[in-house]
Amino acid sequence: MTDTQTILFLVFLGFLATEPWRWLGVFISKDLDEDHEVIRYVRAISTALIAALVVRLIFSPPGVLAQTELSSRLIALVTATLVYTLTKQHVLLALCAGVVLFLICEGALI
Amino acid sequence: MKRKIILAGAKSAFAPPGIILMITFFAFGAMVRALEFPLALGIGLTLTTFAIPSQIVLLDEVSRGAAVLTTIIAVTLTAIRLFPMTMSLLPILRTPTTPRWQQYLLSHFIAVSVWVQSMISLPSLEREDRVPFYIAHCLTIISLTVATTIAGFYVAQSLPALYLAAALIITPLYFFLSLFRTATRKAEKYACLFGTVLAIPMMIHIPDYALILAGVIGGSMAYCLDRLISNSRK
Repeated sequence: MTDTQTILFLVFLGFLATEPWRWLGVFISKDLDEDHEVIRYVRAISTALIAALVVRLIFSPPGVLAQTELSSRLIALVTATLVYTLTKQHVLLALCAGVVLFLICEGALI
Repeated sequence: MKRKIILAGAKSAFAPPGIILMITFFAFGAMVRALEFPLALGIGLTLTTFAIPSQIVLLDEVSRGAAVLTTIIAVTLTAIRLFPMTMSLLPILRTPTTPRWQQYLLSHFIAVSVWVQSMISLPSLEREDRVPFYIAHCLTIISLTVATTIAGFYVAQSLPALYLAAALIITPLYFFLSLFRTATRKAEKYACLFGTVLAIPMMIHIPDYALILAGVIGGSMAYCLDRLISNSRK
């Protein structure tokens, strides 16, 4: 998968699928307010997709993550969420806690 | 003067939203390596797409052998969130004299962390200082994220498997936490729930379209539910 054409194609694909949404935001930024029904619907779809992506990354993970225990991954997720809630949305701490718990569950740090 | 503003903009790239962004691009670089994609692809995506969810979905779908159309749709649906973000940021960023073409260029850098930092920093600045601050912030950020993508890629090469796995798990953890942060409205909270619930059976039975279907169906259900509830209150 080192073909230059493939790389360019994928980069182009990513760009074309993503950038127009930014352009649309510039184009329309005067007329629609954020609570417009269309915006709410569209955000719901986008949010649901990210939730589904998280599920997939945890239950059917890519690369070397597939060789780890599902329980470790779930514990990491729960830990990160707990720490996030308890520290009033401190993302960095939550991520660290999640990663550390993951490593412990996989038998690393202890 | 202008120089102070530009320095302040560059420095703001190191505030928490920027640091988090760097970490997620580090994890992205590691995933590029773990999925055996070339570094050039990682750098290219970071520069041109500059949206971690889009980039991850793209890599994930392609590595699972998804069709081009499926991948485009999945990435497109993920990137929709950029639309309302751009819409809400631009009125704060621009001046009455900022030309449209500049606004299009400036919008390229809009990602969740940039948006968050801008919402924190820009309102307290004078109107004419905001664009220079923002440009300084974004150019610094994008340089840093390209650097951390590269770093993630090379570090991943020399990490023992377990620690590479730990780097990879940052991505789903981060996405999950960001759902909490951005899902402020009821419809979005339901969307998280439905998206999660639908994803599991779909992954098993219709793996090729699981993401898209879970997103569209889950999001639609969430939206309808939210409307039903708010209408029944009236």
